[in-house]
Amino acid sequence: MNSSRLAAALGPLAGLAVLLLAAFWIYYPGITGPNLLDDYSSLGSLDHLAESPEQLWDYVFGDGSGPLGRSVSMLTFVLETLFTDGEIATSKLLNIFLHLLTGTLVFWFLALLLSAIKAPRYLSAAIVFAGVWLLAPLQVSTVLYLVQRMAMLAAMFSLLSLIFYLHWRRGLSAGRPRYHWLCLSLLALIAGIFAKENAVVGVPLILLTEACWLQCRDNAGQRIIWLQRFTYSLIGLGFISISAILVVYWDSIEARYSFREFSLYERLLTEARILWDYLAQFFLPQVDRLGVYHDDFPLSRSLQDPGALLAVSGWLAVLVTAVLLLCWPFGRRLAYGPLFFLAAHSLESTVWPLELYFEHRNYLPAVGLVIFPLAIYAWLATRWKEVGAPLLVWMSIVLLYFSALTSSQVQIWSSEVLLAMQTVNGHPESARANKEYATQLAQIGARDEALEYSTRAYFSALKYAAASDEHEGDYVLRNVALACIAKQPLQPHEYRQLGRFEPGRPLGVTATLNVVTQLRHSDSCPDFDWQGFQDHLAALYLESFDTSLASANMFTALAMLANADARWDDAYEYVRRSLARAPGRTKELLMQLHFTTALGREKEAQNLIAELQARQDAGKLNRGEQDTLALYLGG
Amino acid sequence: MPLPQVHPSLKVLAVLLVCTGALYFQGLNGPFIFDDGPAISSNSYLQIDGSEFDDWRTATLSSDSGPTHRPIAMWSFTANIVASGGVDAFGMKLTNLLIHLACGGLVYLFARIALRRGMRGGTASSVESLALLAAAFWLLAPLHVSTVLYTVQRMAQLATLFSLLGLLLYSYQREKWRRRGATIGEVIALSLWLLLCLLLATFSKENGLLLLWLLPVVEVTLFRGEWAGRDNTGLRWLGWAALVAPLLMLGCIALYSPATLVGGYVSREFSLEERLLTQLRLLWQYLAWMVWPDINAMGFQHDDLRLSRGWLDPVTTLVSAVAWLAFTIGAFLARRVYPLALFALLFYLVGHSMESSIWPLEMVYEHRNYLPSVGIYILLAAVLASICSLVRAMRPRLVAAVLLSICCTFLFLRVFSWSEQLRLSAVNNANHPDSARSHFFLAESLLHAYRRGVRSGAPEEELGEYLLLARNQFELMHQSNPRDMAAIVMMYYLDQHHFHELQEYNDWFAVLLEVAQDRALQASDYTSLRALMDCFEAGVCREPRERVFLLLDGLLERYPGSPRLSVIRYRYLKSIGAPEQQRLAALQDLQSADNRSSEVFQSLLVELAENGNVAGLYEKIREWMLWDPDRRRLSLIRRMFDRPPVPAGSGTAAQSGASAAPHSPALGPEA
Repeated sequence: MNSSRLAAALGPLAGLAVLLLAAFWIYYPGITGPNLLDDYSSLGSLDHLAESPEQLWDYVFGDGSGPLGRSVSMLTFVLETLFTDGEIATSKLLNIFLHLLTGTLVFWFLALLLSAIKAPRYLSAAIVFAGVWLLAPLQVSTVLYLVQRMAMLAAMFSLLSLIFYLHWRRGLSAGRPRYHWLCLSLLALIAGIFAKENAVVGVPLILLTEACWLQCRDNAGQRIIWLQRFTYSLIGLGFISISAILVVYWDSIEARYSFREFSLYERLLTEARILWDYLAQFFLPQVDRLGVYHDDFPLSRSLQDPGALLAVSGWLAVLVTAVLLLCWPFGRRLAYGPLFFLAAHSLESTVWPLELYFEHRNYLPAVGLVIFPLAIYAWLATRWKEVGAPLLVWMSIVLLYFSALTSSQVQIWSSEVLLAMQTVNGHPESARANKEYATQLAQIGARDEALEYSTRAYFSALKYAAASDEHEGDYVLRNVALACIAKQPLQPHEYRQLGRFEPGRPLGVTATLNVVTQLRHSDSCPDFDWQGFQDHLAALYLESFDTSLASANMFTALAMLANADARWDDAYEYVRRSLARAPGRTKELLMQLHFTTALGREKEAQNLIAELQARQDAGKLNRGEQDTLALYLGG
Repeated sequence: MPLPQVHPSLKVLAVLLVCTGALYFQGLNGPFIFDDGPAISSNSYLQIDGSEFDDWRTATLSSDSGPTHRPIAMWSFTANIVASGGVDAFGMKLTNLLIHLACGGLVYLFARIALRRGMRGGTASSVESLALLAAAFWLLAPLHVSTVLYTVQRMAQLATLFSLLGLLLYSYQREKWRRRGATIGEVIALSLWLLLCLLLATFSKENGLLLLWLLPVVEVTLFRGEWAGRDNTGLRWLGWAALVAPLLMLGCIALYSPATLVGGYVSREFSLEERLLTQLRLLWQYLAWMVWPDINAMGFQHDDLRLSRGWLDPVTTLVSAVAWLAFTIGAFLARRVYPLALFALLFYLVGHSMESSIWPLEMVYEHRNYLPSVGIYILLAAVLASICSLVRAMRPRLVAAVLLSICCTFLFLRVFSWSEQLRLSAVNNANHPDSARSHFFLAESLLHAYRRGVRSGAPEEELGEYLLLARNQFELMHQSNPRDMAAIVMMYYLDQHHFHELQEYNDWFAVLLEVAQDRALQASDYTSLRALMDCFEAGVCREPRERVFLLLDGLLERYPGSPRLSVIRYRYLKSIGAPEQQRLAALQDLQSADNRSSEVFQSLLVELAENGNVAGLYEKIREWMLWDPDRRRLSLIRRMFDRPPVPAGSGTAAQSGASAAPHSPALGPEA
């Protein structure tokens, strides 16, 4: 860069620095916020890492959230646990830094897009539009929700991949292609996929960038024919492949919905509405509705449902318009943003049986939402130079407005109690929001109020398919936990309601049972009739050897609760049922080894040791499991 | 390298700005007054150190004035407080002065274009000189002292600043387009800039919206549809249509939804008709103050103004109306020969159209002239030039120098009176002896002086004089307006606290009971009633409970469900130690009537906190958040959870809720 260009870039770069500092200032109070939802299931086990750092790789490669393990994301959490104080605040601070870094990449990406078409004031425009992405209130629930670092890293690497591609294209357009950029682009994409699988959308995004924005032209405006053929072929091939896969595997995909309360068809209909809602929440945010709990989002059962037809027609109209726009060079750039948004949502908001609504799914797609007005800006400012400056000032006002909204949202997220209150206000029929607020009330000793919100949660769960029906037993068990937290435990006639309505399946999910087990372990509910409660559970589950009463995981969880009370017989029986449902699971084998040893069943213990050693020899035990087994071998 | 040449006009402008600054400087030592209290000095949301972004947001949205909350002005107050590390009147007023000077610069630039377009046969240098003269008249107008040195009126100043900027941008571009036309890009760009000015002006104070109406004034009077060197009839008609459209809109509202206009007059002691009639006279009065700055007639309180009850009561109402009609017709007919007359007239009337027309605002305020006077001063400069050209003996520079010297002298004198609280109150009182409010503010200033004396340990005899004088002023106020509750409450308080011997001669509470029977309660009355509660809470005032309930319940009967009165009643219940259930019930009843009142929420939180009802406290905070969708109270709510987590069953959160206690007004025992 020569000195005059550097001097010209200094102002905008100072602007970028100010933007990043402002974003940090706005987000910083959020570090005092709490852990949420999946933070516990995905990151909870990291607490033990500090005690046994040698198990580092178990944690890095042991994540079960996705098919590829998300090892890049887990590596950041592991390193953070090992080399920082391990506080939530530090993790959130790192998320904020990651957000700023991704925001810088968005700026870089937008600047490259604008410079490729020689738009005026491209650096200033890239800063302002990147700022809109950086400070959109919709991003708060990604940045301050720890485990969503996975989504952030995936987005970051996808953006890097796009940036490296644009650098390669810049060289190609000038007649000096440098292929190391292409390699870097590929590497970034792979890293993204191992951060979270949906970084794979980086491939269609690169193709869209080429087809819609760069339009396969070089610096002289001439078509690069081979690139055009290659790009269009890949797009066509991808389209045909995906269609074929969907046609062939449609039944198989549908079958995966068996554990959901909605079908594939219903999900697709509902996602059409949800995508519009994301769009509205990005541009015209209703901050009181923002958050992580959207399990009150009404399901669309058919096209006749209110909103579904409109939403589907709307997206079809967008697609048809986008296709029509492809006929003009400017039209293609205008279509690029919406297509970017849809392509980036193609994995999580389509056929996979994931939950219906999560704001963090917009982290990367929102770049497309910013590109749409950016394309309009580029067209207007190129056509009429004098329009550029006021347009940027107006966008800065939008940025300021977003900053104010985001700031208030961060304040809410900085306090566990406020967040719970805000969420239940914004989603009074969300089962999760009501449960969360019930927990907060229980923590201040407000037992009756906590149980009231627990009841609301139960009925909300029954009402909304997005929340999944709650077992009556899970509801009673939650009340056991809440009453314990409030230090006013349930009486026997209250906890004996558990299993009354559905004795064939007394409990549905293990999460609450794990909380109850923790309460027992920590002895934080000494006045509760633990023995009576354990007897009641044993009566429900252990009367006969009936493995249809619960899942393998539930039996394991029951065993852990029995273990907390040193009820080895019960624990042994629970694990027996668990192993009968899911034979050969290492964790359960180790547990059973513990219980058989405690009960003095030596022969059975020896058999278990032999089985586990065989698994160890086959390399099927991780470091932690090996260490646990070693404890029994030593004796 | 030679230094770039500075245009001579800019040198003169610079001197003018320095002179204006110097004349105003002594006034910067003046106090906060009147609405400065609730908006700035007592506004707890503004008391921030600036380290958290969200504190800036809540401070910026903390004003309850107007539907927009005036965030631009509030942000500037916040910036002042953060910069000076606390609420500092000097810094605030200095900023106001700088804004005044910036506005003066814009007036000069706008006047150049207006005069160039509006004066026939004017040379470039004469236009420059007249623009400077117009800017000087405006900058040095003594009428504007009560805007510049009244801190909260920065709202009006900023609205003016951005409106002038919009007008200047429009005129500057329009002047070019008049000659050569415009590209679509230029039109879009100007529209975007104008919308920006409109946004900034309106979010400083709602009358910034008038920019939209002032633009057609400029168009129809100065540019008259001229486009690319030709007369464009369509554009000319468009201008007139834009000028008339707001009038038609108002007409429609009056016709189809008269309640929108009349509803607000419930809390006023005058009707819509009376206000409109009175404004006809007042607009002439303002005009007279601009042209002939009689600083003895100006003032801060104008409640001694005689209302127009009919066209002939007083007769000057009809005369004023006829004069406005005649001038409008005259200016319209002469619009081609002397366009500046119609420009100044329309600019003045449109500039006043929001605050001096149908809305149920108070009757008179000098700051309402800050923007409307611009057109008048431009016309005045042009008229002076015309007179000088007709009367050869009059030397323009000499005339200008004499007039400006007079302005400077009056400005100096007025600023001097504004530089000290007691002096300001005394001068106002002397200028408006029939104004009840001027007595009240003089009495208040005397009480302030008394309190300062007590704090500094001054001798009792010397201080007693302040008390006597203050009481005397309250008496005079009561005589001026026997229905004003403020005087009655203050005399009740003074007699209870300082002049016990007078209690047997005066039963002020009985007077209050009588007035409360049919007085249309105004903002100042609520403040007085709150002050009365302060007095009861401090244990200074004692009154049989039945009488107090007679007063409060009587008022509530007249204003059922009034949140302000109910809070006052709740405070009384609390001050007499009424049972907890009774107090809570009072607040909960009130909440069902007006859930959004932050005052009620705060009272409830304090009540729940004192009872140790943490669950109730949580629920009430949650409810408060529900009723605060813009999160304007978030910083206050957030602070309640700043303390360490609450252990089950403990009262920590309950105690932290006490931080939400409503701020008590200043009245109380001085010693």
